[in-house]
Amino acid sequence: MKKGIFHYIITTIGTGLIVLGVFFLVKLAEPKGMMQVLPYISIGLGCGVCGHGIGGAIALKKMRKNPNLQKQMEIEQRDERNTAIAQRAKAKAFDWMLLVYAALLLAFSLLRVDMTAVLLFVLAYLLVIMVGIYYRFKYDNEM
Amino acid sequence: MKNRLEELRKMRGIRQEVLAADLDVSRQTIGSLENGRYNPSILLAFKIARYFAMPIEEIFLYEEEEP
Repeated sequence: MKKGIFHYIITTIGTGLIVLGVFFLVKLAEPKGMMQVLPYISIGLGCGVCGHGIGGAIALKKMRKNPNLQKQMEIEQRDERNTAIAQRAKAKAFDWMLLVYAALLLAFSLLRVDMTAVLLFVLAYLLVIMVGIYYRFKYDNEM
Repeated sequence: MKNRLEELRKMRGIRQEVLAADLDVSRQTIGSLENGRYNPSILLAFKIARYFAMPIEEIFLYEEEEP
């Protein structure tokens, strides 16, 4: 798929989500259950997706007008120092995420939050750690 | 690890931007290499050595750390 078309599709999906969210907010007088939060999730998600699409489309338009800028962007993306910095920052963020997750988990259990939510949280926490271990073994075999 | 990148570049009168474009890296990478803040991958080190037509050990000076 052409990059330009992809950005337009993303923007349309985002706009659709915003419209859908606003529609539910206006039309549903007394929303019940999931419908109480769904419109807000739809608007929030729509804004993010739409913004991503518009940003991508503008960047692509600018780059098409200026081939030097496009080449520079490609170099910046491939640049080994930039990649190393991004990987390092991601690794740091992962360490932080484990700490924040653990603290939140503890807070949730002390606050006596619903057991299902806490168990889902524990599962997500364990999944993230398992993925880390899996890739450790995978890369250990590959390198 | 120290290197003679800045010295070699200036000797040949090449601008950082030009060297970066020729090596397919960003200008910041060249700056960081020259300042000694960043050590290149072995691939980039070979690329630099080939660019200046010099052996790699004449550009990058390895100093063993004292125990």
